[in-house]
Amino acid sequence: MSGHDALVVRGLVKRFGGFTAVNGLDLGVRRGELYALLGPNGAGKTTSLRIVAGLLSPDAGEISICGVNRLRDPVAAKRVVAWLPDEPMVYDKLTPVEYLDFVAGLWQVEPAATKRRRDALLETLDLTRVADQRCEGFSKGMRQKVALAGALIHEPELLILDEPLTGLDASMARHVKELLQARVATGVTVILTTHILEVAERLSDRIGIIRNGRLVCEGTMAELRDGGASQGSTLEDVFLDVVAREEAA
Amino acid sequence: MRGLVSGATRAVLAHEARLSLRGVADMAGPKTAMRPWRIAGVLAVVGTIIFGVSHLLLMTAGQLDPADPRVQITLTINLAFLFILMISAALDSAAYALYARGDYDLMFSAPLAPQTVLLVRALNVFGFTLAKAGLYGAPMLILLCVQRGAHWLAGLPLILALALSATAIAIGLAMGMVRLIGIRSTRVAAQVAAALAGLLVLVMVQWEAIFGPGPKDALVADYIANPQSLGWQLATLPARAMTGDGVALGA
Ligand SMILES: Nc1ncnc2c1ncn2[C@@H]1O[C@H](COP(=O)(O)OP(=O)(O)OP(=O)(O)O)[C@@H](O)[C@H]1O
Ligand SMILES: [Mg+2]
Repeated sequence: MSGHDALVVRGLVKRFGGFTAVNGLDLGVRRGELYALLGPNGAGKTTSLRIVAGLLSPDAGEISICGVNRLRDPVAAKRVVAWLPDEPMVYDKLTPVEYLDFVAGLWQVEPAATKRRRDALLETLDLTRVADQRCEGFSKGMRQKVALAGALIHEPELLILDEPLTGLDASMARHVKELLQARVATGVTVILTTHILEVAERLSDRIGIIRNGRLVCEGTMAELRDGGASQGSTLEDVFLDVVAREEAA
Repeated sequence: MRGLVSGATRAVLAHEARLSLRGVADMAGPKTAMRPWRIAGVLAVVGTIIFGVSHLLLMTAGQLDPADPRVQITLTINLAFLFILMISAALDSAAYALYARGDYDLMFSAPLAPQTVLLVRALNVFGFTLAKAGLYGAPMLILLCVQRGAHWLAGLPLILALALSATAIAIGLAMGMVRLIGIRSTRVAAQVAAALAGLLVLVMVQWEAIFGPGPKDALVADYIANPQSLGWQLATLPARAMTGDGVALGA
């Protein structure tokens, strides 16, 4: 089924009471692409991605993940997706090894594969030293790494990360970026949100900017730079320009 | 059973059990080679105390004739207190297991039906409630069986049923309270309620000493006067079930 896009979102709407957080969002992400979703605070990035990951139900719209209808067959859709929230929770009372084994169990990964992948992930993320310590004493960044390992252990086809780099030190952030690029190179699709525009600029194949719950601008870095009236040369210029233009409209 | 539950469900069940056990074990302090012994020691002491108190209560209770209305009223009052205690204990577990754990992003992004996750959580609360009720109730039941006859075994399914309904009520209450006053306040309220319920049990034990025989005698008199009234039939149902009345147990 490799003909399908990794993610197709059509006319997504989500209201909280009278407030419309996502307002007719359309999004298409191809397989093996690293897609960065940008937007000012409160633009609806987290809300949209939580809907895609199956944590919220939309008020309207359609979502297809690797050809599977997310609303009609949620369990099948979730099988190929990993969701990493911006403030992930790891269980204080479990060790990284136990946490990863549990997550692998949720996705029903074979025990042998679990062990192989788990050891490799702990190694890559520099967690081997603490692999058998309970997470209760871990720093924020260490917890984030454990959660990231959890998102990767079932080898999802679509990896959705909400601000994955905040809280990581410079060398670890570099590490994680390389890890994501390595996954993308093997055909995995990654969607991430970030406020670090330089990350989006250097890492992503395509960039989408959302504002007030809808996509206002999308393309490769080169397309964004050339397209429209924007005179800027960096993503920051483009971003601020697009946001300001929307504000005026 | 194995065939009925999927691998992922089994993973969640095992996970919940492990988290619960670790939570309980952690109450016994940091993990050392001595900890298992410390846990066993604490259990032995607590068990002995509860057994002792139950034994004393039974000694002072005199002859327990299941058909005696006084016995049934006493049982009913006792069970009512036990039930309140169960509900308040379950309330805190429910608020924690359903809301405070913060792992729904992981659970609900995993490929299993959300109902499964919620059901396992409810089972967890039920397990805890039952364990607590069992800790307090089981010694009394064992003594009753050994000293007064095996028909008291009927109390076992009764405690099960009480714990089940306490869980259901507590989960409902927790959901309502969290919506109204938030997670943190709900847990505080639940803990206060549990402490109060503990006090109530003391009151119950000392019932006659504090209030004298008056109020209970009035209840007993009323029960004797209208034994067939619907209210009394319902109210004493658990007590009659406990004394081995098969029909009441079925209900
Ligand atoms: N559960 C909720 N109830 C009510 N309003 C909500 C809820 N979740 C999000 N919102 C609102 O929806 C809007 C979009 O929120 P969202 O978290 O998706 O923004 P975001 O783009 O992720 O922002 P940020 O960059 O700050 O993370 C915000 O105005 C937020 O207040
Ligand atoms: Mg967000």
